[in-house]
Amino acid sequence: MDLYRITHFGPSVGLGVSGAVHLGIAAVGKPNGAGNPYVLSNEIVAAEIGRYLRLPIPPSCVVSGPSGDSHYASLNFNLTGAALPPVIPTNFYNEFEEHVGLLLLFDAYIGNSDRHTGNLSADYGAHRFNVFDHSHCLLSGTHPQGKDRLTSCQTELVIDGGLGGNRHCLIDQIRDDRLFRDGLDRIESLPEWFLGDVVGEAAEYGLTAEERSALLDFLKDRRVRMRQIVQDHKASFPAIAVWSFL
Amino acid sequence: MTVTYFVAKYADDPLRMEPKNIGVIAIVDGHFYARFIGESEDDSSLDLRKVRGHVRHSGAYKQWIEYWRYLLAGTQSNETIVNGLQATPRLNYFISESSTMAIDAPAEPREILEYLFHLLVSAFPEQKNEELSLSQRCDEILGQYRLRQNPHFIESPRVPCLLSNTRTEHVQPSYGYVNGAEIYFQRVPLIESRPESSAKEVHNAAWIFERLRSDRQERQTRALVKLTAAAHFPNLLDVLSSVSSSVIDVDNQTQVHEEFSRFVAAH
Repeated sequence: MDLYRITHFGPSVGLGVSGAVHLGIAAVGKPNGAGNPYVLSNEIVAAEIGRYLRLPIPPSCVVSGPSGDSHYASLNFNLTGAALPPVIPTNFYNEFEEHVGLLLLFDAYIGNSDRHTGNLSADYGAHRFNVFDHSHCLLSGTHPQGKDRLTSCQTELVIDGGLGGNRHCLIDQIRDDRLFRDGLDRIESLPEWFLGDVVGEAAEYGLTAEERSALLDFLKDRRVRMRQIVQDHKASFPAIAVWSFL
Repeated sequence: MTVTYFVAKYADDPLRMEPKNIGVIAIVDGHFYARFIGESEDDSSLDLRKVRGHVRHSGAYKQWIEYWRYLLAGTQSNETIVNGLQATPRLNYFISESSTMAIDAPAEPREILEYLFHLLVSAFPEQKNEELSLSQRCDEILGQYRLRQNPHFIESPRVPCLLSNTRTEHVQPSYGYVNGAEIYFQRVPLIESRPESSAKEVHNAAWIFERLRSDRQERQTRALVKLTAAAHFPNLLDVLSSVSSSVIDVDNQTQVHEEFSRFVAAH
């Protein structure tokens, strides 16, 4: 279980709940914007799926801003007391190699076109890392937006920059396709009921019925396509000299 | 020459935003040079023990220095590198906007970097470096040749020099020996980390010597330097050689003996 920053500790809850205290926990919030009306839905779906896959994505929720607008709030994982820098890809790979395959597959699965070095944070001293910022995936990130983007993603890897956006900062690092094995198993086993629930929750924050339906279909379909998509894009992983697993 | 530089800053509390300078990045001749607190002058190796007291978490500090050096070592254009440095979110660690500084004396990039580092980040090294050691060495020479007991040898003499028919100016070299001939000595401290200051010392010596010899051409002038320090300033050394009768390396026993032993004999 990861640790997160608190803003205040106490007072105690009161009678009947021994030892419990009220806590203020720091979080970072972001709203939908004019240029990207899918921030909340993207972030909610991506975070729920990522955490199900056991990636270290901070817990999150939705809060109301001062003017009543909804904000996606992600817990502040800044434990050291100081913000950590963007990752250096080779250093990150060397330290967290066993997780890189899953991370690449997760980003490919959600069509993330924005996994640059600033969207990962690593504390090498504690051997911890965090994955965050999923506002440019699924329904937005490259043009066209909305359900048309889902259509354009169908057979694309996306993390190779094939649709535009940023090439994944770790795609040139992975050296062994066997690191994909566990991640593919996990993605392929995502339950349909789970995807349905997650998309249903996200839809409350700005999706039309059509977009909701398209998103659910996309996620169900892409689960089973991922293996073939990776096989079709082997050239996008230049450091894998020999493919043994795929 | 004009140098563009950036200051690396650390703010313990991003809300209060009271940053302190932790490093400097300079662009000299189109190349990046950087130094951060805790790094050695020679090989940029980082000693985190020197960082304690400056930042709260030395592990995070180390990662930031590694990241900035990673950006600086990139092969992209300078503009791209600068944009990458300044894209750092303004939380605890960030890079300032660029500033420029005019450097009078020609200097090696490392010298400029060290000067900026001491000017903006840490204090200048204490005077127990070349400046004091030049004075100490000169004191040793005075003692060795018993020059303070020599009635012809004067410390900091005030020498009148005629500027025009009606105006006289007094110059004050470090030492003078007057016994028929007039020989004047000027200590010229040259400090690697302070190129501007070093240039001023040379120009001051040049002015003193020029005044002395304009007034009386037969006067002899000697610049006293530590040649190990002067090696970092070949151009300044050339200037000194052109305005002095001779340049004496106070660490060269042969030169020192050749110059000062005759005062003892004369006395």
